Amino acid sequence: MGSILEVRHLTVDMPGKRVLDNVSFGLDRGTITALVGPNGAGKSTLMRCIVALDPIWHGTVTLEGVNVSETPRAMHRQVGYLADDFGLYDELSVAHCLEHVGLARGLSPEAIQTRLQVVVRETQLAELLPHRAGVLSKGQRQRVGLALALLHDPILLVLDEPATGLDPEARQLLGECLNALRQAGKTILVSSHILAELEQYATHMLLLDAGRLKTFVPVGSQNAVVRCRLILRVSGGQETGGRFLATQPGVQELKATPEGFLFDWLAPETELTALLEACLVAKVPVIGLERVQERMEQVYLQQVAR
Amino acid sequence: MMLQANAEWRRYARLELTPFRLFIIPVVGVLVILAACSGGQPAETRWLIRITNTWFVFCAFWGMQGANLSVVDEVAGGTWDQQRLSHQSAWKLLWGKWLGSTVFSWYGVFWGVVLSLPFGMPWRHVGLLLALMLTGQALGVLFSFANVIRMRQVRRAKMAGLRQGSAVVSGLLVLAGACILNADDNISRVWGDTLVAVCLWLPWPALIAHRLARIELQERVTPVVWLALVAFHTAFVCLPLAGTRSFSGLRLLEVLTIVALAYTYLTGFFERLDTLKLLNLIKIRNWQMLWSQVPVSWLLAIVSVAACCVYALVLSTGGETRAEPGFSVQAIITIVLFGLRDWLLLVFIQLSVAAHKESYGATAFGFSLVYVIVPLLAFLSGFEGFTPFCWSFNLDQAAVWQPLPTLALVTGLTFWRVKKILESQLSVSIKTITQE
Repeated sequence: MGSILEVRHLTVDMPGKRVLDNVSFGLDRGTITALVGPNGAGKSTLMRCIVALDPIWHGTVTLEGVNVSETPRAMHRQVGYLADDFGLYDELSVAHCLEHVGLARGLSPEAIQTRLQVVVRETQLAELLPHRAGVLSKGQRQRVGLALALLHDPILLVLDEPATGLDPEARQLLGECLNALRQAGKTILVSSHILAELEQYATHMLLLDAGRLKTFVPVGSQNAVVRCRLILRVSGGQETGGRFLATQPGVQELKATPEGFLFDWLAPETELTALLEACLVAKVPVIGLERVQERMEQVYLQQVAR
Repeated sequence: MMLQANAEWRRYARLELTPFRLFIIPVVGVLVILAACSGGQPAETRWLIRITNTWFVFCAFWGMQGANLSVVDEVAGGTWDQQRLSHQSAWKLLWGKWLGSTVFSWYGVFWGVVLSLPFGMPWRHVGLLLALMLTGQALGVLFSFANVIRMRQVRRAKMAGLRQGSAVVSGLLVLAGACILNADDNISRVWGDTLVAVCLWLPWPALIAHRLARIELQERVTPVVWLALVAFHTAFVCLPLAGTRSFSGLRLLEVLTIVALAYTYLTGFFERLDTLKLLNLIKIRNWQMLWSQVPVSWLLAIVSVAACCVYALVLSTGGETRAEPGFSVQAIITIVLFGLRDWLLLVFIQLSVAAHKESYGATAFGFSLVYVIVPLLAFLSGFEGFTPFCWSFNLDQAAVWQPLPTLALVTGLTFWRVKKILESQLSVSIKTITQE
């Protein structure tokens, strides 16, 4: 997988405050990156610079090799953006809202109909099409916003706090939708304060704090190299088990506990089977292997506390 | 077909032309005509034309107000970012807004024309009203785009007064522009001249709004349109005088000075400088982008000072003196220098106010200090001779050196402020990047 979006040395100043300070990272195709950080960390500014809504004075942002600050309009064609305070034309029906954006995005009437069918399926909007946008609930509005951002089939999707104000069911639906989009090859950058929800679909975590990039790590997807916290439960044999695990690739931050061994796993999850088999061959008395939850939150809190 | 393909026009048509509205306008029109014709007397027909005129004025201002709100309402409603990300060109967006936001007023005008022409409404009258409507609406869209910059800095509630005021200003500008050529009472000439005047004015608000639309869509722009606007206004005022005895080079200079300074003050107060952007561009020496981003007030100040000073110099060396009532060459130079001082004061104030805060209060205080507080203190303490350094009403008695002390002071303050900003975080960021 090659990087589709490259951000290099991005710095944004406002009088009396540096909003972004020398931020550099790259997003691979078909990934979902969770952009997290405290309030005022610069998440929204970073997103607006990436989608070429705010000008870039220091540093570069390139999408598939094209410099955003030199050709912002080209970026607009390739990106779908959902702002945290986005609005809808409340007097129009959802179908008319979608048609308007399709036309404004330069799609032909035939292309609009084709894309409408796709995005309505992806965002599960079929039953909402005849309703006025003004009467929709928060979760329904977010789905319409997502559909508007997807209508022109962008290669990069940038979503600023899409889960804010959603109930658990709507959040679940949003997660399913983003996972489906990732599987369809979209690259997604999504910000949120709800880390447990991001963990359901994010493949990477990008942590900003006070305008600086604190960490950019892969997280819990099935096939990616992951950093997850695991506990290997054993019935005795602590010393042998400890020595054996310490030599295994992918095992880091190993700690012995009364229940077994706690460690960070830095390898694809599929390789855990091989680890278990190796434990059995080495006669480590394994009685179970469990994932310790809240790993994204742990990483977040550790990084922010530093 | 073209209208149908314009997303903005289609959206407005859907919102504005509801079945009820489409139905009610002709019904009310027909009822008014029936009421007017019930007596069958000529007096009632004249009354009908008066009603129609009032209806046209109502439609004109309704349309202008719609145009006025066309962009700012999108910013307030959170839909403007979607428009900026769309694939529409600046022209397409502009005329979609222009004709779309006013579509209901045009529907009203259409029925007004259809119902009033059979009753003797003159065609030239209709033509003038339509031209005035178009100009007013173009000004409305222009104000709406211009207010977007401020909308990002202040809450919507605070904008209400300015937006309503801009609608009134739109109307006054249209009327002023239409009447400026007409000094006699010959009604047929008034209509004809006014129509010509309005048609001459019409492209300007559209061109300037187009420039602002390009800025919003992050497309490259140049300030050439503003230079052309100053030249046009000068020519517009001077051409009718060109054949008269009172016209001279000095009169042309007066007009140029007044037009350029008027625009400098107007735009200086209403257009917030994006100082951070400009300073960033200066620092990274991106002159092409800087040229495209020069704000109106800066440019007009430069134009007014350069043009007026050079021309005044030419006139004074050529021996031309004041033959008619008006300003002398020295007075014009003095005015320009006072104008330059005020422009630098504006720049200093705006550089000193944080980017996310409004500068109205600071601007009002700064100008009160120069024009009221300091002269008043000088007067109360017996130093009346100090007042001409701040301002002078008697320009023929004014000396060119009078504005110089305050001009030097404000220039020094402005350079000090620019230096401080450049020395602070901006230079740090560039050093950081360069070192890496």
